[in-house]
Amino acid sequence: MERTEFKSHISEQLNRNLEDLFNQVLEMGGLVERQLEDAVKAVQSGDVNLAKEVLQLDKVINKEEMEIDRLCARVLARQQPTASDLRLIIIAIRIAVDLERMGDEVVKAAKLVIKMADYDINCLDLPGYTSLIEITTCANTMLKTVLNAFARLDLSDLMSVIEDEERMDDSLSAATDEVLAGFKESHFAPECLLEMVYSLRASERVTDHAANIAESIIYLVEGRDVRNIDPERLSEFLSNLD
Amino acid sequence: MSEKNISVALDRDHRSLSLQDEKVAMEVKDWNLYYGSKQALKEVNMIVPEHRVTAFIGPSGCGKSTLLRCFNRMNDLIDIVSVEGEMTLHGDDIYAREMNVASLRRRVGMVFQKPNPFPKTIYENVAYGLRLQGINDKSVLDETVEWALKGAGLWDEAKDRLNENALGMSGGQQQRLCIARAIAIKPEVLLLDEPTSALDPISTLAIEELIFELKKDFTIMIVTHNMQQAARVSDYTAFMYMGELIEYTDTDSLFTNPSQKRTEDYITGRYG
Amino acid sequence: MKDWFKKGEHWIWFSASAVSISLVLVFGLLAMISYKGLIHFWPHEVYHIEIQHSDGQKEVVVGELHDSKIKEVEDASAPHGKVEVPQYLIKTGNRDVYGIDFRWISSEDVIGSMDTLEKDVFVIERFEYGNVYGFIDSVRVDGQVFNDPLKRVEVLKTQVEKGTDLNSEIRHIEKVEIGAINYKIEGLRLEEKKLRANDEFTAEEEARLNAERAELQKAFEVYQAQVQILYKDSRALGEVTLNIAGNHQLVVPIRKIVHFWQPNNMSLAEDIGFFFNAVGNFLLDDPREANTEGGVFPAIIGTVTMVMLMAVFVTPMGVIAAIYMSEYAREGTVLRMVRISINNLAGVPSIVFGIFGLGFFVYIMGSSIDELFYSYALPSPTFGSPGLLWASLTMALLTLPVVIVSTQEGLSRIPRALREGGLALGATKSETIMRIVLPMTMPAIMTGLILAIARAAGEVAPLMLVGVVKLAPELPLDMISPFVHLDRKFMHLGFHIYDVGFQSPNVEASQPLVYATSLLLVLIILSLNFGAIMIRNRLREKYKSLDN
Repeated sequence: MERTEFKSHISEQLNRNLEDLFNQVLEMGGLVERQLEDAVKAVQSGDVNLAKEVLQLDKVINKEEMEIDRLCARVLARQQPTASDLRLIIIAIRIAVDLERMGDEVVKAAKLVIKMADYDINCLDLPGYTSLIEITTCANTMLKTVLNAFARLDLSDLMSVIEDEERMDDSLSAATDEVLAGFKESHFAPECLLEMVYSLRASERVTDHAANIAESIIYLVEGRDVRNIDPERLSEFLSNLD
Repeated sequence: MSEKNISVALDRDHRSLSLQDEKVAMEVKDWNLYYGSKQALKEVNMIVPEHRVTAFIGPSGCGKSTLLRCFNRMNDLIDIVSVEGEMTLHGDDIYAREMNVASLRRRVGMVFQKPNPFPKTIYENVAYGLRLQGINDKSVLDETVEWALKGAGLWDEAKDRLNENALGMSGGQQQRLCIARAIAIKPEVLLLDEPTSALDPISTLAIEELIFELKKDFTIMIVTHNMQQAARVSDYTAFMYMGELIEYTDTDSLFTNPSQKRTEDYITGRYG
Repeated sequence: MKDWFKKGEHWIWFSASAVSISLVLVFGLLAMISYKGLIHFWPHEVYHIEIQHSDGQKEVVVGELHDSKIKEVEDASAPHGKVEVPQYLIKTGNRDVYGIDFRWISSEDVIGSMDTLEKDVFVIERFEYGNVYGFIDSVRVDGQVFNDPLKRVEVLKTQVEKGTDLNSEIRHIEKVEIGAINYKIEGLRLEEKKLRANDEFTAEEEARLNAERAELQKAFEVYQAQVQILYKDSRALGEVTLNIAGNHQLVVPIRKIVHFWQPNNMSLAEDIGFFFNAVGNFLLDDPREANTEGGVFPAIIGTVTMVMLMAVFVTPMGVIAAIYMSEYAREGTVLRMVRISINNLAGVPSIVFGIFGLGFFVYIMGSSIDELFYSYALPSPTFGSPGLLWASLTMALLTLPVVIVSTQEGLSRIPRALREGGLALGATKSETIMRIVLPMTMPAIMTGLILAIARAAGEVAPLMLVGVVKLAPELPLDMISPFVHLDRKFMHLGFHIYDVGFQSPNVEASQPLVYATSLLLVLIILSLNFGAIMIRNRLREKYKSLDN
């Protein structure tokens, strides 16, 4: 992995601080990734302990966010970064927020396992389960992709993230319909179904945050703010990059 | 990654500095300085930590340069200056009657605002301080000159032109030469009086980087008009205003969360 | 037009014209001195002029045309009642026959034209009595008479060359060799006096001194014999007989001839050769005929030696004073008074310095030195009379303010940062001044020195009181230890100009020499200054980046 861009300053201190920040973001991303993986496993196996570990991990992630903020504040106050360095600081704060929200959403999704354990219901049987697994797995892939892209400062794979995000919107509405049907037809208590809807919704939010991170990375690398533009033009922009 | 590893990772960057934990290089107690009848420094109390960079910031005329020049008794040159209080260097009272000013200045080196190399060769500039001490042994001089130039990050540029006139160098090189000249006599403390105010931004960064390197070997005090520079290079920052030491703490705290209103106003540009 | 004034253009024009006028004046001065001085060395043509006096007597005048002027004569018949009659100054030479070198003739008396060249005329420059203008009648060597026109010139030429060689040999022996012996004998005499004064004059000392003296005497006699032989040789060189205007015949011994030439028969190349030869003689010969002929070599040496010594004295004095005043002395009334005094010192008339030099240096210091160290030589003074040392010191005093002021100027221009740089490295104040400040002040010191040299080389009045003489028997600089003789009197170009121009018996003859000497003085001052300026520029180059 070559990231010479943030290593070539005259000031060794600035190099070191930016390097620290970079690694901190990647570390936090890795934690969220692990959290997401654990959540999927917990849902699949109904392992309550694993789900609780997901909750524990979230606290660490929250601390990581604070640490990133502190690092950013220090670099801003002491080294007056400009241009790409400045963008790195801005997106580091933004990515940290996104990752922290992701963590929260993952926790929400994982709570399904704990709640279902109270009702003694296997998640597998709930309507929308397949979609939940699909969305969370996809979210995991997206997160991996964006973290890779961030680590390499390479935008080539980000197209799939944008597409996946839209696909997951559709999956969510399909899954919601499925659960709604479940309210009428199935024997599950409405509370459980409602939990399922929350869970689905939370995992879809995770993909939204992954897409936000992708946009942040585009901003870091290209200096263009691509938030709030429609997906077709975004795809066009990304395909025109090379 | 277990819970424990993660918390270790979190602690990694929490190495916040604290004055209480530092070794003391210089100490200033109840320091007052008068220009004639005008008081320029009022009751300054501070310790200067060893092997750290201490920066002095403040508006023009706040007394930061005056204070810096007290540390090597440069103010002695001005007839109307009188001082009271106590100032020590590793426990030695530097204003004591028996203190030899020339040897004090060998222990407390100084670099000035404008690069002031002597109109001699690069080699002779660096060797000047040694020759003053009567050291004329060629091998000792060669060795020290090389060491000092390397220490000042100038060796690669200067090694092939040691016998050229120092005035032919660029401003940034000249200032690094002045630093080399100052460290060649191996002082304990190095005073930098606005060392980069006459230089371009890139030379400035080079000097700042050098300061960061030099603190391994020397205790450094720097006066600067440019508070961003203080933020970049220093471990501790003192904010002075109207001859008083308003706030003196580690640089991170001072620049992210100053405890005094006046400091805040000054560093955010609301002062005045 | 109003606009033009508003813009201030007229000030530019004013200052430009002021500068131009000054430049024209300076260059005019130089051009005049150069022309009048250099023309002296160019071979003049010799004219043949017939004149008829008012009493009807006719006369032929042969000589060089040197000057002309217009005389206005009252004449009622003329339109304005006045007629302009040109008058010509003719150098006729042959002083021993005519009594005078120059004569004015009026154009009224001239028969025919003024520009008839005399054919084949000879001009002979002699060691005594000036030039001879005439025609060679015969040349006689060893009783042999040469009458053939070509042969006699050839013989004359070889004989004159021989004479020149003999003369220089005689002069060498008399001046250098015998001079050295005399110096040694004088040394022995003083030694004896010294020993006697100290009561140490023992018999063996006497024997030693006498032996040495006898030896020197022997050497002296050897030289004396040599010189006698040479003199005899030179007397045997023969003589030349010339026909000169006015139907006179003049016999000139060949040993008295410096050189001879035929101005009207010379090509341009020969003219140029003659010119440079004449310039060379002027620079390298001793003066003759009460300074009105010959060269100015002793005066050049005297001027340059005096100026150099002055520089040696004034530089340390001025620099040390300036350093004390600007680096050490406390600002206050005393310092201000000193400054005012120094500035006023620059305005004191130079003759006052001369009087001071005479009164203080010569009479007080010189006499004391004589009493203390040269008492054996008394009553003849060693340093108790005007001499090179006192002249240089007086001049040093005269130029001291210039050096002090410009050194102070230089010191104040050294950036404070540099001194602090030295001090911050643990140098004491004096170390900083000696090692850093002073080397950098050198250009300013040199500027002061340049001004001092310019002033000292041109000053005459005080020197007349403290050591300059019309004719010095010895050079202040020679090959006998201690090489520079501080107690000797010396000649000086400035005084030489004054002396030749206004004190000589033959003012007209010496006029071109005055111009030539002035030109030389200007050139010497210029070259001394130029040397100093070169040094200063090299120093400036070294420190130039400090100025920005």
